[in-house]
Amino acid sequence: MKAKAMSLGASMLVMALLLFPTGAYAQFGGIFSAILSTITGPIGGALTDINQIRSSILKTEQQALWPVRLITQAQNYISTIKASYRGWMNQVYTLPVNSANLQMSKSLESAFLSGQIGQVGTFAQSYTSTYGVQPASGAAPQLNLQMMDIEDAVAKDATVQSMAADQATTKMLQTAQRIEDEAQTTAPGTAAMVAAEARTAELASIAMQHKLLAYQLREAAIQLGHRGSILKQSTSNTQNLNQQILNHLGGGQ
Amino acid sequence: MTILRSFVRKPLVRRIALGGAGVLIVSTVAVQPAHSQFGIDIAAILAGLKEINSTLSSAVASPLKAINQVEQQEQQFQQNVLYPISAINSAKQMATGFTASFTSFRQLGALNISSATLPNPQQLE
Repeated sequence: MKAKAMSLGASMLVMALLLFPTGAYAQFGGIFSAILSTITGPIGGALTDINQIRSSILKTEQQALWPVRLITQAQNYISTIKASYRGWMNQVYTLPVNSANLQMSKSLESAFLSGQIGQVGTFAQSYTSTYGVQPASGAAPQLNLQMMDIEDAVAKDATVQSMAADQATTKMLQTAQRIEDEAQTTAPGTAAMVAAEARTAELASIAMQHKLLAYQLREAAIQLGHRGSILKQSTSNTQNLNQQILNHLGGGQ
Repeated sequence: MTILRSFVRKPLVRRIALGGAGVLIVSTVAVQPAHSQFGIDIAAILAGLKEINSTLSSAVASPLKAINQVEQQEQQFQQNVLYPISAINSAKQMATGFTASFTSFRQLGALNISSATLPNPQQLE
């Protein structure tokens, strides 16, 4: 009887356990709820924030930093500047300034205004034809021969230097115009490349200017040397003359 | 009541009752759907996953799509306005073209222009 009651009770208990809902559903529901909350909260919210920030950055770039309207306006401005001054400036750069009349001097002038270093040979011949040849050794005092030689050399060197500078200037102007053309179509991202080229060209131009300035200093120094040499010669000649006068008067030694 | 007790006390009836209880227990256990075994409700899990999928679509995929659109606009802006490949190539071509010019500048700067003929002037020069 007791065993029967126990078996019946156990049967009822097992049935109750198996038939009634367990706590599993509620447990998973909590997990899903947490996941959904994380997705909609931290993840979804962060993504929305990222989107807003990216949109804001893009808007700033397009409206404040690099507005297409202003870029186009700057490019049009370059076009206007080019159209208004390039042709006129090219005329200025190629303005003929030659004025010699005689054949030899015209040839000399043509050579040193050519702006072509390839004309150096022609220039040297024309220079000699125009200013005369260096006297032979013994034809004049050595000091005078040397002064003539160095002064011819300085004159010719400076002129050749100026011819090279003219040639460089022509190239530099072409370079500048090419940079200007490029600036007309460049973009904000490539403007730095164009600017770097412009700066390089500028440095090359300054270097050439420095060479010309250095040559001007050398010319001035040579002129001073020439003046000093004449004074020295004059002093020496005066001393010689005094000595000869004293000799003639019988007071010399 | 007495009749019922006497009826239950019959061995055959008791056996039948115990056997029926056993069958009931076994059938109860056996007919329980597999997904409900051990307390795991797969239907609930599926419903939860569907809910997650729906939430991912709305809360994650939607902002990501918007971010993608903005990124595409940014890329387009960079490619068309800031860093157009044509402008980059043009600038590079210009730089390459200037190489000859700058070499020419250096050559002109290093030109030997000496012309003195006598020893002392040559030395001075």
